[in-house]
Amino acid sequence: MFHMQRSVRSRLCFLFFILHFSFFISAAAQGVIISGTVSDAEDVLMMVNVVEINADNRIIEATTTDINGQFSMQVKDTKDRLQISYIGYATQTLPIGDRRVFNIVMKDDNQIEEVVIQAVKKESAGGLEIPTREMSIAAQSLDMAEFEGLGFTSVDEAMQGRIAGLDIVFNSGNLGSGTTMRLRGVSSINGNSEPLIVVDGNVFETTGNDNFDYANADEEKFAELLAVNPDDIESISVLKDAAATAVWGSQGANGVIQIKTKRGSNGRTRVTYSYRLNLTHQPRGIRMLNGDDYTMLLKEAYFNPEQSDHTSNIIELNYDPSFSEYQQFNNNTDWIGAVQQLGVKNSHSLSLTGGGEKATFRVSGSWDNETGSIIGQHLDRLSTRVNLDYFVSDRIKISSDFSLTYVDNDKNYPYREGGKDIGMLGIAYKKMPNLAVMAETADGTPTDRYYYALQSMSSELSDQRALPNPVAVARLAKNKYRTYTLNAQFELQYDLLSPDADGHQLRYNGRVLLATFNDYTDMYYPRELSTARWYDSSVNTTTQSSGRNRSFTTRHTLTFTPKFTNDDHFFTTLVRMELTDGSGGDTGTTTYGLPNGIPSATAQGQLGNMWTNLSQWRSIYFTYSGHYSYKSRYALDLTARLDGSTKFGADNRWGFFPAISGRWNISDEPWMRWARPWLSMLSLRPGWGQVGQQPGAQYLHFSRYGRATQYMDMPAVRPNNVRLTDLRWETKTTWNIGTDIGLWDDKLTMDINVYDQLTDNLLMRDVGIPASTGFSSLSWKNVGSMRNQGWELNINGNQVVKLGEFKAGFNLTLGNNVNQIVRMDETTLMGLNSDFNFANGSYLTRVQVANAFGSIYGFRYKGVYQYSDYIAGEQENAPVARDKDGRVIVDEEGKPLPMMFDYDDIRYEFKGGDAIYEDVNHDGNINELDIVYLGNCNPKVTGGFGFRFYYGRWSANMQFNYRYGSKILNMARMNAENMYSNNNQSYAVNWRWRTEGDVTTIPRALHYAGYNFLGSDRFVEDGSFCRLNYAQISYSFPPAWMKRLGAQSAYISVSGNNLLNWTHYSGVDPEVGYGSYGLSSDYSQTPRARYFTGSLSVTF
Amino acid sequence: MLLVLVSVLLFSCSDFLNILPLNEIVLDNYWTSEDDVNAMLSSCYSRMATDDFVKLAFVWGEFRSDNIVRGLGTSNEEIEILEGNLQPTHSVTRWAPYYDVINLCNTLLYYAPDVLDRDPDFGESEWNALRAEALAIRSLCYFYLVRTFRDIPLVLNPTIDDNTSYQQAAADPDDVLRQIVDDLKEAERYAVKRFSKDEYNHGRITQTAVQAILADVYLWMEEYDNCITYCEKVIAFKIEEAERERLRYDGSYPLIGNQKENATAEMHEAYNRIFGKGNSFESILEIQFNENQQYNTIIPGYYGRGTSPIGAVSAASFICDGATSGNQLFTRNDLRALENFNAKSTSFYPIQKYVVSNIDNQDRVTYITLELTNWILYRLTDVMLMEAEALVERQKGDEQDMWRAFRLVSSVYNRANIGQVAKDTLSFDTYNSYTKMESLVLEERQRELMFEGKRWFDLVRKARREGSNSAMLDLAKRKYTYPDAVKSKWIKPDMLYFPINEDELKVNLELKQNPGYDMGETIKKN
Repeated sequence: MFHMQRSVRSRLCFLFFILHFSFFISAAAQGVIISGTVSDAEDVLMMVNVVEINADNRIIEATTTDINGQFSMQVKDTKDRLQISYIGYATQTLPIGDRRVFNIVMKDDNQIEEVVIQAVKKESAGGLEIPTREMSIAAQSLDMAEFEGLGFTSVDEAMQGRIAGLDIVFNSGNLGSGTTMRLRGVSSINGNSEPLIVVDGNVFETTGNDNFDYANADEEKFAELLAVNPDDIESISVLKDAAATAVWGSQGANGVIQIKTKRGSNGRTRVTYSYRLNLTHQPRGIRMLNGDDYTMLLKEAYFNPEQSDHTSNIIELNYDPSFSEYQQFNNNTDWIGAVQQLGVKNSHSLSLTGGGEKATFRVSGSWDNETGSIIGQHLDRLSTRVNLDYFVSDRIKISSDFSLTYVDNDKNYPYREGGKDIGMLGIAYKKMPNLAVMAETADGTPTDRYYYALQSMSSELSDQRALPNPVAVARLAKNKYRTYTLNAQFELQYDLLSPDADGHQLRYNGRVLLATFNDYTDMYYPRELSTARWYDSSVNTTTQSSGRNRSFTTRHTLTFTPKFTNDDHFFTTLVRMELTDGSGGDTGTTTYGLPNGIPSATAQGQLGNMWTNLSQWRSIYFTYSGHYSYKSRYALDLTARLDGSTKFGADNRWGFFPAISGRWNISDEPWMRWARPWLSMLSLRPGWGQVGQQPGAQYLHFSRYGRATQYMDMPAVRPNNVRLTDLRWETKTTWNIGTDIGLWDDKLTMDINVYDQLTDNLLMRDVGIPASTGFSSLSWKNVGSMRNQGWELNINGNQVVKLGEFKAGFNLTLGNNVNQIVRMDETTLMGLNSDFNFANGSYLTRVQVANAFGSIYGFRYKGVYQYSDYIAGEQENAPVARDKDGRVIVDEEGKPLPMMFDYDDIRYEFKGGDAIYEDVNHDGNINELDIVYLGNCNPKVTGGFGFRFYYGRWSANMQFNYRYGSKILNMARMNAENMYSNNNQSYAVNWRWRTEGDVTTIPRALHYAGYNFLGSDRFVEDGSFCRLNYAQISYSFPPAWMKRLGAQSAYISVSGNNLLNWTHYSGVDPEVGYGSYGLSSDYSQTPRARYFTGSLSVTF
Repeated sequence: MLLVLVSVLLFSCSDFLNILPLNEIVLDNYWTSEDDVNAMLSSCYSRMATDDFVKLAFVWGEFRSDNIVRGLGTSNEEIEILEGNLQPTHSVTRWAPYYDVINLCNTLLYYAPDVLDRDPDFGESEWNALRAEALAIRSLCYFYLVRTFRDIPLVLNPTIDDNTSYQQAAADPDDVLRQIVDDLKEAERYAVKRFSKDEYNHGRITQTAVQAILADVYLWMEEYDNCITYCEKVIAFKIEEAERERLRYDGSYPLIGNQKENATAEMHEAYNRIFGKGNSFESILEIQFNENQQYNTIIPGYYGRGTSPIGAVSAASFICDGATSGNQLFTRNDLRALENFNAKSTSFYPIQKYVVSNIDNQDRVTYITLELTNWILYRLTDVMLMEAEALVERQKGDEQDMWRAFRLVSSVYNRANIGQVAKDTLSFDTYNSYTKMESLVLEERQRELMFEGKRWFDLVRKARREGSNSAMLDLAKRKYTYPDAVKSKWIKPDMLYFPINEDELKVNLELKQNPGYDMGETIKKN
């Protein structure tokens, strides 16, 4: 009973808002018939539009003249007017009154009056439209017109380095992979830190999915959400401070990226076709050993720890022709070369735009066809977008937007290591290079069959046996991912009072959005790729899964702008309510041991896994926003938002987020008149606001019981979580003080922002609790507070240089953010901090209250011991303990004391060829007391700069981005130089220490032994860099030429991305993503792809 | 006006925001019928039938003992433990799987009484029977924990919400043991004696299983009279069962292999039935695995499987060297020298117990193909040897007790030396002193229960009894290359127990590290 009541009530609530729409459909009345003829000075005119319009200029009835120029129609109301229009003639509007016959003579429309348009440029932060000069928030926008002709495949690429304070890092070179974006640093521990993407006012939230883990999401998943064709984008604006994002409430806690798509415009229909050809090249990363060097290294690595030939006697490394697999193990395979290729992408896009007085439209479609720079990847993307605006009358406008994107992505079959897909390239870097790609016959001729390591391979090399042949996997295994994104929106705008600024304006705006996102995965790992037994779960494995998400949003906005008799006052305000209901689900099946060649998950096989998930989410938002300005000189904004969430229990369900900001245009003050000639804008913008963030999961306030594995024949149910009764909204309080400076009529504009963000009630995922509770963690907890302080500078010089036909402009952004923990639960803090452990390759991390994140601690690396035994004067560089003054410490017998690695129970005596670590306290022991501070991962400054040049019809464009003062852990180099496992190593290890007396900086090879790559400054590097992100030259053809071809305009352009990188960093790419509170570690072995684009665009 | 509208809206919209999980059921809607109680009890069992749980039962009971050494593909952590370097960072010091089961039992014990009011078909007697099982499972988990760590938090209430920190200091180990005894005695009163489904008699807690656990607990507490009483209850029940099933057997105990019906049976009948088939007549409690649910991948991983007979651990060489022709542990004809391991191997001695399903009269083995081996917690000979140990220790030399203990040991021993010549049978005259009997019982337990997760606890009992680790370490150290290093490291009494995992200490500030493993303030940071 109780449940029914509740659901009825919630449905009523929903209906209430739907009904809003029908409210506007009004009834019609009876009318009279009129008729007449239309002619010009010479003859009758046919196909002339004759319409009845009402007082609001809404069309009531319409007809056209026939071949004799005659018309007749029934009019609804004689108070209405008759409007007669025809191309090339002046439109006439006549009252109807008692007149029944109209004989109209049309006049040529050849006198165009001079019209002075005094438009005020307006902007919107998702709420009110406010003159740009009165914007009191921290925001930055980009006009996409300046990107025309660039080879961007996604919006994020275009934004890189252009928005101050927005750091964009690319995830990987795989097809369809996206980016990680951080606006003003990380202000949340492991809530979602990605900024909110808003397309045409709609939040991109197709996967409002419960447990969508943004930090570890499949990169494709996130990229698919952003599937907007760059050609369709008109402008992008980024909202940074809380005053700006308050309109978006808890959704916009990490900043908001607003994307506005192009709409149709009045005029004749224009068709634009553009084609882009993109060539992608993966540069060679770390140079790896060839087969001969590798086998030599491995034999040494196996020999060294025990100094025994027995341990290094591994048949696969012995080049013994009597070995049955001899031919398979005597090669010099370049695995990396074998999985790379030149990637080609063809993009076609076509758009139609046009419209008349009553309706405008823009229809576009694009098709991308892409092959990856790693073999076996192929992507097709088809996207269409239709934007229609219909002006029913002066007061009523109806818009309908529809977009569909289909992506068919043939990916590589994932190969997971430590839960992460390392990809084919990852395998290639590890795979032993003496192994053959294709099986070889006894005389060494390759066959057409891929070679797989046999199960009988030496057990020492079992990790190599487990690595599949990447070429074979890329070619034979299947991993097809298809997505359909469909968004349909209907919008109604109705001016209840005056439609223009002459009177009080009251505008209602209602919209309904249906968003769906469906995805399908088909994976198949055939028999050929594994030499495991037939019943192994890797044999003939297939996974088929699908997910579907849909959400339904309705939003109602009332905007009121009163007309003041005194024009100095300007006030506008809105109230808005938004309601979303979404649901989704996914199902999948994994089956293995299928009959050969039958990739169907429902065929007879062993069931590996089978899952179904259903999810649901709802939200309600109320927003109030007001803007007042006096003389456009003083402006004040107030915004408040109330968010209702299903993610909290009844006590904390509603979050209230206020914001207030103001702007003072100092340059408009009368006493600043003296500066007017050169100072076009000087303003001060203080702002304060609060935004909130919700946890990334539903149903946390319930104690949930779910199915458990049954025992014998008894079905089982168990509680799955600890109920969170105490969870609160994470709130971020932001202060922002900004200033805008415009010089020489805004030729040079500049804005500076200084901010301070304090995040309270930090939400943290999976907070450990004592295991004695029966649970390992609380799924979410408010654990403390964190502060982000920083500043941003953005300078734009728009055509600052003008010399005849030559013009030049530039842009520059600078930004810095410092992040620190203000307060944190003691247990949480301890959980984040690891103790020093004696394992190779691990660095000590510390998260401390009042300290910035990302400090690196470790040993100091001092090279390699030349000799094992110390002989004074002769073999000085040997592992012996030395005192402060560098004198060798001796025991009572006068023998030098050895240098030891000493941790807990481990006492290891260093030998020749081992790494030298500085014995900071001179006690002859390398232990935790010798660990020192090695630097911090946070960059001091980040940003970008660019130049634009124009000469006649030519233009050139260059954009750089940079980061200065960050330290990076070069883990890729560590893994490639540690000589610890069976993985292939970097070419550099050929300079390793091999025999007594060798002088080198690379220690000896020790297979799973020794302490040669303890966390030390050997792998800590300066990550400063400056990268030429792209350079482009374009040429637009003279209109006279184009006219002859029947076209309006055309341009052609060539661009290159990722062309140059200036850095001291020895790794492949110093642009390393953020660990949220950890260290910046670079595991990538390949620099990001370099690509070249040629594009052509023609408009008819 | 507006305020009224907004508040009405908020009220109705708050309902709009009330959504319930679609894949799960919430607490408020659970606990309505007997089925709900049964399903929760089932998950208590099924969480025991997991790799994590069985792994720890095995690691805690065997890894530090003298039975096993490393094998192939042994992880770094495992090698460290096998070499005597147990650290608080090691994953096997995480006790979560045991407290998971404990919390499920606590949840059941807390909420199930509500069902009595809600489900008319669920009466006191049904409830008491289910309650007995939950109490016994919880006691069993606590018994493992107190034997392994000694200092553990005693949690008897379910974890429901986040309003407490759950930080709790370790309880006095004696209090834990007292709680275990109280709960088990309560369980004994109400536990089902015999389920109608025979499978349940081995896979679920029966009265006999409760008695076997109690006997083990009393033996640990050195309350030997009680231990003997409970062992005899178990043995008496098995004799009664044998009569019920009209089994005829040699000697005083209904052991497989001594049973007359199977006179034609193979030599390794006992092994094949107990370990090959599982759920044998001798079994008292086994964690059940079958195709419908999780496979037991831990045991094949550690002991080996047909495809790779050498697992991550193998049998210690001092046990296996010359075992087939007789060595310090096995006589020449002891079948267990052929069953427990493969003594003919060269580099490592692979473990065979739980790995092979059948051994024929020519000692040829058949490997288990599917990973469905049950993990045996208690079986008859274990209880018989517990009684023997209690008898030996009760008076430390009382002739009557010694004789009774000898009879129990030699019954077990003779079953494995079936049909052998007289010189292989034990003679009481050889074991006429307390010391000799004590070591005979210990040796027989090692031979009989090898690789069943019992040996380390046998050794710890010895050390506790003697108040010194020294004699026990002389046994445990035999497998080490540098035995004295290990002995000197483990000589402190605290070292008998495992360290508490460092992550647990970070989140439970009330808990103190086992002093034996506390690294002291020099290394601690913050």
